Amino acid sequence: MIELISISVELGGKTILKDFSLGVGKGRKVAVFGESGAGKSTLLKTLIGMYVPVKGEIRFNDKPFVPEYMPEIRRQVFYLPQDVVPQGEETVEDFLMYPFGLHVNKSMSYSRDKTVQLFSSLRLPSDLLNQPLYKLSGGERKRVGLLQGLLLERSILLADEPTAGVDAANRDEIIQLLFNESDTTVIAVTHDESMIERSDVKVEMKHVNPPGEVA
Amino acid sequence: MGAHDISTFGLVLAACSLLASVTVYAITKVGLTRDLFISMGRMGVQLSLVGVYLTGLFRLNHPAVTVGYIFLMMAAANYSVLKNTGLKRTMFFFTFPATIVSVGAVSVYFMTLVFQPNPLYDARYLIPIMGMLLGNSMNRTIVTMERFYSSVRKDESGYSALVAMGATVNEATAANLKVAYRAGLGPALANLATMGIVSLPGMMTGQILGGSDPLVAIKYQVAIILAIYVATDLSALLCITFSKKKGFTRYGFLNHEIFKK
Repeated sequence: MIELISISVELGGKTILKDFSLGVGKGRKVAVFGESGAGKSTLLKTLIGMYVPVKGEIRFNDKPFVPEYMPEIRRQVFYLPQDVVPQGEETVEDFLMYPFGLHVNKSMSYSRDKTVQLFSSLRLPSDLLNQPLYKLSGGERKRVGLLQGLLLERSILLADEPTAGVDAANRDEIIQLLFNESDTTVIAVTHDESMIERSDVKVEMKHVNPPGEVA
Repeated sequence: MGAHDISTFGLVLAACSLLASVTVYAITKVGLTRDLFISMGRMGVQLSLVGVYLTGLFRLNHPAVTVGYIFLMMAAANYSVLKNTGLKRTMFFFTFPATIVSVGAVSVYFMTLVFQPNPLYDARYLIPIMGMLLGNSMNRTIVTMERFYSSVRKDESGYSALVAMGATVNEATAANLKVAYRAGLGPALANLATMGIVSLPGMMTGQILGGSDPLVAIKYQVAIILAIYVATDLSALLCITFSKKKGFTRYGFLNHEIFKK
């Protein structure tokens, strides 16, 4: 359960979210949509701790969202940013394997079989694994970014425009994969009509910063 | 045996050599003659003052005064680092202790085990050696810190994604540290490789002019180069390590408050 209780977020002296409340139960699929600059990405970035609310409270499974609990909270979360930026010459497989070398994931191990299986679900050729990440198109990188999260099997996925830059034929697979696991909670910022339609909680953000729906 | 003294008239003649530079500026119309005289004037005044207080410090040769002066040099070095990195001055409280630990540890090691002056706190040794260590550390630290924070900032989205999936600041900045360290290390290694061929080290030249045996001068030079190398490596690493406390938020994200507007 993720709870945002009357939070306000300010950036550069400007209020982006004001008294915003939202409750998301386990396994719910939330689509956050609305006009540009209404605070959709800010909401996701607040949920990873990048922005700290000036007012209100955030709770993850009854734990307060404070630095002391971040390692525990982050073990459950995967965040897919708007752009997946390649690091130097790293290959797609280097990128996918990277999180498994982190201390927080020491109990997990990378599975190539599972990667190949997910590649085929997302209609990505498995020979891309040995390609440098920077050679992939924006849409392909987005899908590879999502794969990183799926391989980690996190219970909460936060995705910023997961279908942006992806052609229509592949959008369905992304939405399918994101919304497939019944136990996985998903909060996705999107403009994609199909994704909004298939979500079970719809949160429309407006510049006036209204309180969100409660799932 | 000391170096042959230069008379006041000799120094005036040395200053007259600047006429060649003035002529070059006139021919090339670069218009920097005024700046040349201002900079040269400042250099002359600063070095004269250094001459006066170094004479005083050497004569006094009191450990507390010498150490106090060294702390002043360290503070000035840190101020210069922050002035040139685009980071706010509040970072001083993290880079200053880092300099004390890194340069301090290396100087204690070399003074007690290698140079072994008598007394150990001899200002005539300690101050010029610390000056060389700090001067070089400062240059490396500027390049390394600048590159470290600018590379995290440049790919903040990727960095943030790593932190969000549970990477610690150290894990998420490992690649940035490597890039930054290489940027600072490259020129230092190139300089080392050409030493004695392209550049003649200043300290060695000074010692030879001062009447030292060239072999003794070379031994000092080798020892001081080693000290500089280790001090700069430690200083750059510790300045980044200590500054992370302020450079990143308690949630692990880049703290934009550290950058100058």
